[in-house]
Amino acid sequence: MLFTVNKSPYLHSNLETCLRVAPDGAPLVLYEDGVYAAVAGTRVEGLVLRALAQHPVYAVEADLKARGIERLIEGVRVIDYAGFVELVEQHPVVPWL
Amino acid sequence: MEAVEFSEHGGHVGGTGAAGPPKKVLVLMRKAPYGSLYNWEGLQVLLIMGAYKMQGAVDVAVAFVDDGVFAITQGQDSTLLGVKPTAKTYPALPDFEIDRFYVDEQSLADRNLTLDDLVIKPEPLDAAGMARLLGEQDAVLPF
Repeated sequence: MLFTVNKSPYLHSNLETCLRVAPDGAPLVLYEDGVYAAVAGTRVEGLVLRALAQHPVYAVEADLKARGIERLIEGVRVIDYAGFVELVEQHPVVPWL
Repeated sequence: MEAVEFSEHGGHVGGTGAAGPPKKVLVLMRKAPYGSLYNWEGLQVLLIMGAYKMQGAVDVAVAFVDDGVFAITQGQDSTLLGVKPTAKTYPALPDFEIDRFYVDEQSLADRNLTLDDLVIKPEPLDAAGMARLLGEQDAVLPF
């Protein structure tokens, strides 16, 4: 089961609630404004650090580049659109909009 | 602070050339770029407000708060998204008479950002400074 989050972790609680219910091991993809959660050293970094203990965490490259994000939390895997599609093909998707 | 109202005469911004001190207007950016259109729309409004400022009708300032600070971070490359990088427009705003920029320093700190990470050099304000800025305005336009 693949969870996807596209909202800013500063203005929305999507990531937080998603992590509360996502089964252990379920991959998480951060895209659009969701990628801001993957930045190291922020006030919300604890969310992704906790997520990494139980889930593979991915962030979409195009969204990272558009936002000028370079300092990623260690362990977050960067994927391109093809990689995103691959994950979607391999899992049932739960978009946590 | 009064409700959003540009002119006592009920006209558009600046009325019909009526005398009086320029109205103080703050464009308040609180959303991240790309994820929604708010930021882009705020930029369009700023370019329009520049024209009113040239006529002396308004005094325009811009404040970046919450995710609005993401609008002015360096290194944005939106090629893969197929849209224009909005951050490039901000340094050009002084050419349109928009040159008063403020940033909420707590919003920067929360996001592990400093003034050096930004494409413009806004004046950093603490909570009291933000409150003072907001309190001075005749109108606040939120984006």
